[in-house]
Amino acid sequence: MSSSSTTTTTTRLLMLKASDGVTFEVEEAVATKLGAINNMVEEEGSEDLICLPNVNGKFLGMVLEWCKKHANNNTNSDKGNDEVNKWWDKEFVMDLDQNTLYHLLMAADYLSGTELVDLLTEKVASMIRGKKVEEIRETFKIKSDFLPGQEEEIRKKNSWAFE
Amino acid sequence: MRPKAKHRIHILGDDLLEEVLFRLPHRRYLSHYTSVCKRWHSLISSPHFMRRFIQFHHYHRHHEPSYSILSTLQLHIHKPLAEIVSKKSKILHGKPSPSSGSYILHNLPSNAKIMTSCKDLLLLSPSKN
Repeated sequence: MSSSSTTTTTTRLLMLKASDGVTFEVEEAVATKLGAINNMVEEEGSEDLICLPNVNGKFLGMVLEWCKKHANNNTNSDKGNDEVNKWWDKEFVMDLDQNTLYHLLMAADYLSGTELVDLLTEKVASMIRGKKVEEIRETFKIKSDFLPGQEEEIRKKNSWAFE
Repeated sequence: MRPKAKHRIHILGDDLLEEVLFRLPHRRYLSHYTSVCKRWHSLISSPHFMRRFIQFHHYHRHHEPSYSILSTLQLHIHKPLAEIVSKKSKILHGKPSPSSGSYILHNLPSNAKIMTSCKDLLLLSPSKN
């Protein structure tokens, strides 16, 4: 604890380039909430432009929006940060259509955004919970690909769980 | 492939789909879902999946531990203990189980004593030789 450090954090900016060429300028503290970016920054040191060939601009933008929100909420030394984050997370996933949800999840996974992966997998799980098999198929547009009789057999085998 | 196939849950890799399924409350629940489609069936039925499912629930104790007691024990002894749907299970259930299974009570750990049972649940206690 040397001088009274008034937060003179020189915020380094990183340039992130998505697969479709869209670039984002992001504070290092925000981008390094993503494990993959954090590793790149640590390994490559001074590199300011990071290319991310597996995420397109739309989903990278959304992932970064989430990171920014969480980074900001965490620096605000308010008491109810967890609450704020939770509330904001809920809003964030509330109206996602399935297409966006899955692509965002894959983007978050690719970027090792563990907390975001948790949030999104939980969202998908919440769409499964409490549903019957037929309802699951309906929700996720899954077609049964069993051979005739196979499904019946599986159900019979698991009938102990249906009681 | 139908035109909108890329918008479907199927685009998720096995790892991510597993992460989703881990978040379901318990085994009984999951065994329902083996009949959704072939992919779900093979994922959920794999012993590897079940081990990780149990570990996940151990780790995230914020949910009540509602999966079966047998599954809990399985973690410690690494045997397919939870599958007692078997010919011999009629001893416990009083009626033959619908599947004549390849899983038998021999899979119970040798030092375990069955204290009581209810449907698919057994209460085991380590016996003091």
